[in-house]
Amino acid sequence: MEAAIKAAVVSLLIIVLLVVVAVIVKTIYDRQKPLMLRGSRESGRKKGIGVARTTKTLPSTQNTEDEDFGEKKSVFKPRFAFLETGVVAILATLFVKLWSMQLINSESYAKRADSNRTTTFTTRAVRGRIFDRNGVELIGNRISLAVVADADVANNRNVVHRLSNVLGIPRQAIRQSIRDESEGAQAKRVVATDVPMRAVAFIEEHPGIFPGVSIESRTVRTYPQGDLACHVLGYTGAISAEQLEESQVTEGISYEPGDIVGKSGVELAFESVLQGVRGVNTVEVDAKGNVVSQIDQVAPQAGKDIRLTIDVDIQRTAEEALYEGLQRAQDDYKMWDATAGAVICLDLEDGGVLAMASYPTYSPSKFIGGITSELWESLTSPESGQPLNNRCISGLYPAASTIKPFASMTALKHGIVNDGSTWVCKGVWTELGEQWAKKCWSTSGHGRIDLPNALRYSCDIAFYNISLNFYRNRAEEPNALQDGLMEWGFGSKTGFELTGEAVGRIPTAAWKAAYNVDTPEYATWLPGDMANLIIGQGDVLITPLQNAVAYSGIAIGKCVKPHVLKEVLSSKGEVLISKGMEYSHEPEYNEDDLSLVRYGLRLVARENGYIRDFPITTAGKTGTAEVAGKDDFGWYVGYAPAGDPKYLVVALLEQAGFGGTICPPVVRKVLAKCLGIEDNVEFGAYVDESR
Amino acid sequence: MAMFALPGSSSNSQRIIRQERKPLFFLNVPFLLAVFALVAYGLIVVHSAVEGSVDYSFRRQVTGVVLGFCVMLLFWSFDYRKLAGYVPLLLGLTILLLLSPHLPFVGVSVKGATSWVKIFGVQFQPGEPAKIVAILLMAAVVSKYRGYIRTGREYLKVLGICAVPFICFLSQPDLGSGLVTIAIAACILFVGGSNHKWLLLTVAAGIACIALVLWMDPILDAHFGEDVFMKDYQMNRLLVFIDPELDPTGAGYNLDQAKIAIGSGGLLGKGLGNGTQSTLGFLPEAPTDFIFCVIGEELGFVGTSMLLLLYLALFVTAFHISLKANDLFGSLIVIGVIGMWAFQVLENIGMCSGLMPITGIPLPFISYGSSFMITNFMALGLIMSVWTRRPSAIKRQ
Repeated sequence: MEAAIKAAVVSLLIIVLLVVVAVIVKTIYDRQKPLMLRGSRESGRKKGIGVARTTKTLPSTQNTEDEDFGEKKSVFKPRFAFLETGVVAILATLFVKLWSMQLINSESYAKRADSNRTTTFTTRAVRGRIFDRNGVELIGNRISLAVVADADVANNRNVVHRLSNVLGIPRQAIRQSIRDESEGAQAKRVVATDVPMRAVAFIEEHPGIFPGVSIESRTVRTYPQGDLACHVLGYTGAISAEQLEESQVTEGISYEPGDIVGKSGVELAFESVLQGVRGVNTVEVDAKGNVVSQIDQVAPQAGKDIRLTIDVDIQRTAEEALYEGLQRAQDDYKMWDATAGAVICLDLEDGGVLAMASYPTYSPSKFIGGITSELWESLTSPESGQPLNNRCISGLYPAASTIKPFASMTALKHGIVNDGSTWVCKGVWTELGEQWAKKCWSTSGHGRIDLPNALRYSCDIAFYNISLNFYRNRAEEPNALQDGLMEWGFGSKTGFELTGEAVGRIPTAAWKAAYNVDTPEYATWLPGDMANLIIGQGDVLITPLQNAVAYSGIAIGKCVKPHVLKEVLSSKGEVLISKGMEYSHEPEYNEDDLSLVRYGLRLVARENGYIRDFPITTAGKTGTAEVAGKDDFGWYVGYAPAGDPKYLVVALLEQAGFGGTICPPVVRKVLAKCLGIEDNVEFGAYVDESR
Repeated sequence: MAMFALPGSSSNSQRIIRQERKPLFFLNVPFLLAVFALVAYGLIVVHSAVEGSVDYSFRRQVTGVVLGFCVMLLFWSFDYRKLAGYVPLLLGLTILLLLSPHLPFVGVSVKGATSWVKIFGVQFQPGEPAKIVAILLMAAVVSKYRGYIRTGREYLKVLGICAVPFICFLSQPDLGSGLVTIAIAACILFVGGSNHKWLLLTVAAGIACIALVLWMDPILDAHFGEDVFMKDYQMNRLLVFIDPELDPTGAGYNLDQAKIAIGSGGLLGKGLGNGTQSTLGFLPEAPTDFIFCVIGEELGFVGTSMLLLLYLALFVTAFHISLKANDLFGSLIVIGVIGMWAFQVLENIGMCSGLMPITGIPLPFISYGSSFMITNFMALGLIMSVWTRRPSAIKRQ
C-alpha cells in the first residue's frame, strides 16, 4: 500500500518536473528568437484582440532614463535565459540530492535517527542459587543496599560532599565511581554497596539534599556453608573482556560489561543455567541524554536454581578428614611437606559426586565485588600451593599400586595370568639381568604368591613378571597393557561437568618415541618401561577422579560417568532437568576374572590395619607414588559394602608418605559417614609400608 | 471549441475576460500566489518547530510577517525609479547600516559576530535591510551603463562599488551574508552587460583568493596568535564539509544531524510535530538555519519537493516580471532579488543536505526571524513596484 502511494507520488512528481522543464526550455527557446518575430506571432495568434503587444508599443513609455530598454530586449533575453537556466539547475540539483537522501537512502538515515533517539539500559537478573542433594543451601543470594546516583551528580559538589560525609568515602572516590560507565551510560551509578542502615536511613529521610541519589537493593552471593566445597562450587567475578567479546559472537546469553559470571567450578560449568536474563528498559532520550519517556520495559528473569549431588555432611567429613590426615602426616610422621590432597566420594547408585574435597582451600566470598590484586597474587603465586586448583580433577599424579587391579584385569583378559598363576617373590627381581635388578618394597620377599595375594601385599615382583609377559608379546599386541588400562578410563577425560579436567597419560612405545624424538637413545620402549607402567610409576599420570571412575568399574562392573549436577529447578521449584546414572566406560572382561580381582581388593582391606575392623566389609587398594624430588604421595581407594558397593572413596595425600598408612583412615571416615555408621578411627595406630 | 464554431462571439468573450481581469492589472497573481504559499508554508513549519521552545515564539514570527506586509505595501507604493539617481546616498546608507553594529552604545555582539543593533529596546540585524539597499545600489550603478559595460575601467569602477557591501559584511564578520551580496553582484553584473571574460576573471581571482586565505590562515594564526582571516570554527566547518566523517560529535555534528533529519523523513515524513531529530534537540537551531531539516523530517520528500516547486514558481514568475520591467534599473532590481533568494535557497538547502559548507544563511520566507522576514517583504515590495510600473500597465492607466 505504502509502496503504491510512494510510486504514485514519485511518478506524479516526475511528470510535474518534466512539464516544468519543458515549459522552461520552451520559454528560453521563444525568448531567443528575435522580438519582432515573437511579437508578430503573438499578434497573429491573438488576432482580433485589442491589446496585442508588439514592439512598437513598448518604446512609448514614460521612461526617463532608459528609454531603449524595451528596444534592447533581444540583447537581454539570452542573459535572462542563461540566469534562469542557472537557477533552475540549482533547484534541480537540490531536488536530485533530496531524492537520493529521502527516497533511496532513507532507511539508513531512519536507523540512525532511531539510534539517536532511543537508548536501552538493562537491569540485572538474580543469579540462581545452588543447593546440595538434600536441599541445603550452598550458595544463596542476599540483598545488599547500594547507594546509586545519576551521572550528573558527579558535577554537583555539594551532593558529593554530603555523600562523602554520610558514607565515609573520600570525595574523589565517590566522583570516580559515579563517572564509571561500565553498566551503561544511562544506568544509575553505584556509589557504595553494603551501606550501613544508618546511612541508608539518613539519605532516604533527606531526599531534598541528595538530588539524583537513591537507594537500590542489589543481590550478591552468600556462602552459608563458608568455604565448604569451594572447589566444586567455584567463585564468581565480573565478566572479562574476552568473555564479553566471545558472548557477543556466540549464541546464548548476551552479557554486558560488569556482569557477574561464574569463573570456576559449578558457577562456571552451569553459567548458562544460573545466569538470568537481564531486564531491558528502552527509553527515549533527548540530545543531552535526558530520559524523556519510557518506551518499553522487560522485567529481568532470574537464573535457575540448581541442586547438586554433593551431600553437605559427607563433604564436610571429607574435608575435615583430608585436613586431619595432612596434619597427622606432619605431626606423626614428620612429613612436613604434606600440605595438599584430594578426596572424592562417589555414589555408585547414581554416579553423583557426594563429596569432592581439595586442599588447600580458598574463600569464594573474597571474590564478591572484585578481588584485590594482593589477594589474587597470594592465591596464584608459586608459594601459595595453588588453592584455586581443584586437585580432584586437574591434579596429575602417578597411579602407583592403585593401577595394579586394572593391570591384573588386562593380564587375565589376555591369558597372561589365570586364577592358578603364581610367582615367587624373593625381594629382588633380576629377570632383565643382574644390572637391571628391581626390588620389591618388601626386601625380604613375599614368597610364592597368587594374584589375589599379589594385590593384597601389592607385590611388585609378581607384576614385574606379568609386565615381562606383556613385553614379550609386544610383537603381536604392542599396546595390550595400555589399551587394557585405558578401557577403565585412564588417559582420557571422565566427562565430568566441571572445567579444568586433566587428561592424564598412559605411556606407550609410540608416545615414548615421539616424546624423546630429540634424544633417540631414550626413545626405545624397554622392558623396564613396561615394568614401571604396571606398577603405575614412570610416566603414568592420572587424576584422582579418573581413579575413582576406574574403581567404580571394579566395584559395579561399569565405570560411572561422574556428575555433580542433580537437578535444575524452575523458579517455582519444579524439576526441569534431572541427571541420573550414566556410564563413561564399559570395559570387557570375564566375570570370574573380576571376582578374582575383587577378592584381592577385599584381601587388601582385610590386611590394612585401619580398615579391617570396619563394621562393614569393604574392598580397596593402597598406593604409594614416588615422585622425583618429593616425598611419597599416598593413595587409598575403597568402596563399601564390598558385596553390594554403594559408595566409593578416593583419597590422595601429596607428600604424606605411605598410602596404606595415612590414607585409609581418611577413606574410612568418609565411608562411615556415607553409611551412617558411628565410627571412630585413630590416625597413627598402624603403619603399612606397602606401596 | 467555441472559438472554432463561432469566431465572432469568441473574440467578444475574450475581450470581456480581458476587461474583467483589468482591475488586477497591477498584481502579478502567479507571483503573489507563490509568495503567499511560501509564507503560509513557512508559518506552518515554524509553528511546528518552535513548539515547546523557550527561545523562539510563534507570535514573534507572525508579528514579523504582519510588519513585513506593511513594509511591503510601503515599498510597493513607492516609485522605485526615483532612486536611480541617488547612488552616493545608497552607498552611504549601505555603509552606515553595515557598520552600525560597530557603533558604541547601539552595537551588540552575539556569538562573536557584531551584527546586531539595539535601539530603544528593539534589537535587529541592520545587515538584513542593508542587502536590499545593496541591491538598489548595485542596480542603480550598473543600469547607468545601459546594458553594456564597455571598458575595463568602467568594469573595475562598478566592481569596486559592488564589493563595498561584501567588505562591510566581513567586518562584522558575517561571511554568509557577504557571500549573498557577491551572488547579487554577480547576477546584476551579468545581466547588466559586463564582459564575460572579465566576469570569469573575477571569479577565478576570487577562487584564488579563497585558496590563498585557506592556505595562509593557519600560518598567520600561528604567527599572530589570534584569528586573522577566518575564525577557527569557520575553518573547521569548511574542513568538515570536505570530509563530513571528520568529527561527528564536534564540527561535523550539526551537518550529520541535519542529514539524518532530512534522510529519515523518507517519502511522507514523520508528520508535523513528530520529528524526533528536531523535537528532541538533536537538530541545532531548528527553527532558523535548519528549518529545512524540519520540513524534510516531518513532511518527507513530498514536503521538500513541494517547497522546491514553490521556489521554482517564485523564480520563474520573478524572471517574468524582470523581463517586463519598464527600465533596466527595475529589471536589475528584480534580478538582484532573485540572485539573493536563489543563493540563499542553494546555500541553506545545500548545507542541510551536505552539498554546501555550513554558513548561517536562512531560508527565504520559511526560516524563523523577523528581521529576515521583513527584508524579504521589502524585496517583495520592490518587485511588485517594478511590476506595477511596467510599460503595459502604465499605458493602461
